Amino acid sequence: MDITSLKAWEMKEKIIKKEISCKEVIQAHIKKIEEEDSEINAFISLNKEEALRKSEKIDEKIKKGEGIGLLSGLPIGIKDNIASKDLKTTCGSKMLDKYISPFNATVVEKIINNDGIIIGKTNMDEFALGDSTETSYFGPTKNPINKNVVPGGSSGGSAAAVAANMVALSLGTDTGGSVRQPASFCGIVGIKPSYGMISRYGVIPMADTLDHVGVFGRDVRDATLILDSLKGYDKKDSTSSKMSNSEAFSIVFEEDKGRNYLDGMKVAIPREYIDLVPADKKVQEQFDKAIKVFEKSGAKIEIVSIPHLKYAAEVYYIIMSCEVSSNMARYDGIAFGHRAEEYETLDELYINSRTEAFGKEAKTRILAGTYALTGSKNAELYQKAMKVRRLLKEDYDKVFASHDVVLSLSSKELPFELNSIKKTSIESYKLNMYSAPANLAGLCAMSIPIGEVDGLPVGMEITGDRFKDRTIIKAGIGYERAVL
Amino acid sequence: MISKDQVLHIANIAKLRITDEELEPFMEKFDQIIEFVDRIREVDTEDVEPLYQVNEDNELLEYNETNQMISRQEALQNTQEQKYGYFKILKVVE
Repeated sequence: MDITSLKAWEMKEKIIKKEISCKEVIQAHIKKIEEEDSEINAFISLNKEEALRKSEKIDEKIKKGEGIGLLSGLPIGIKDNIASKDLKTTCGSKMLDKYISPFNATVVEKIINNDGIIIGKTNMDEFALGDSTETSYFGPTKNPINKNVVPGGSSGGSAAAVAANMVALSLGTDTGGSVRQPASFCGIVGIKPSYGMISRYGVIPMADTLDHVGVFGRDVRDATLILDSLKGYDKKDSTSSKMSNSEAFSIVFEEDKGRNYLDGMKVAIPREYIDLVPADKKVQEQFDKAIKVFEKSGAKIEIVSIPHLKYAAEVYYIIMSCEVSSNMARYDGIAFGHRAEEYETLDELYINSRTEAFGKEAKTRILAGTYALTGSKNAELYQKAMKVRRLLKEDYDKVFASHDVVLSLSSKELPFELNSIKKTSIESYKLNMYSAPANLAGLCAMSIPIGEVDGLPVGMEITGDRFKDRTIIKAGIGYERAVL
Repeated sequence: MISKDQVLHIANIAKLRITDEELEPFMEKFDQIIEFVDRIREVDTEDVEPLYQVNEDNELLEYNETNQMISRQEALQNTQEQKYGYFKILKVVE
């Protein structure tokens, strides 16, 4: 038996039943990383010795019959924009390539407290600004399904690590689709919970009103397991919500095993996706097939209109770049981060350090955001975008008043080839129309694999209302039960 | 069309340097971005309030409590230059 190919919840059961030891699990994953990661490049740094040492401690705990945390010794990858004490946190950038955080993010503390084992920090687009993981200072990550294509981004390393069985579970961040699109590209499940569900304390900010922590797993049950271990109110994060202190989501699996959750579910499909950006025909066929599964299982499907969806990519780009430009102001070469060697004045120190260390995409977005915040553009673009954002949120409120979930493709594109021109083109910004609406309105959303086209995975996005995360989990489980 | 001077002005605010070779391609990209985002102008937003936060229960204010998160040594561990337990920067006043 290859331990690494088990689902996380299967691994957990075997560890608890002492069928396999935690140390064996960790050793098997380290071996996998040593065999595969020189080519895939999912990790920026590894934590092998510490992981092995912890696994022994967990085995000891199990042997003594002590209580064991929710993550019971499972190997976990953490995106490298999440602060981890004593391990590098680089954000995939030259700016932070030597940065070691003096504290742990709340999510890292929660993983440790739940007996999860951090195997390493995963690769990402520089400062999470990208959708292919090709803008990383540490080189691109390859998609384990097909090494000629990208794993998606910006959490491409976390998605690839789960898809390649190098970790059982992983953490990403999602500002406009950075968990769901790589989950879709790598053929796994990715969940971006509602805004305020998971603490962002210690998560290096990109765009504050859009940033979320998200999770990856091989099926919905896996992703829910790690989601349960992370959610909850945190007073260290002012955007954390007390609504997140709800009952564990995994209760869905414990109650009524085998129940058909799709029966009677009210499903909305936005016509704007069909009218405005028709997907590749073969990709669309996969989506239509998945809808049929919902229909056959008793879901009621209705085509709805979300009129402001057609502006979502533009609204996202404006708000995101404005917040990015403001957040990136902290990298001045003084307290942390890259400092240029040559400068004569303080201004030169700032300019030289920032110019040397930021990549091209980061610079573009900083400048675009500065433009949209400066002078009259502030009202014309930034304030205007915030108003359209409200209209978009209200569109969704109307839909969710009479529907449980909204279904769409996670991305209308198949994973594209490495080094293709898509990564920096305006066309790639427009693709955010699929995933960014959930960030703009704070909705919970999941990407779940629904099939393949030419050997490449296709994902479906299940979106739910704010703090109705349980509903999208039920929809995901319902779909998995119907097709497996 | 964005002008050369506008780009250099924005770069100066953002504390970034754009080289002469970078300027042309950047202006082209910037024009594309402006053309892309300008489409939102067609949306009627009369009497619509901006939406800054989606959740209503966010605690925008924090109690003013003192608590030490990290030590002085830890705060200084990532800087390139320190002196007497402070970050060292260039002299900015005469």
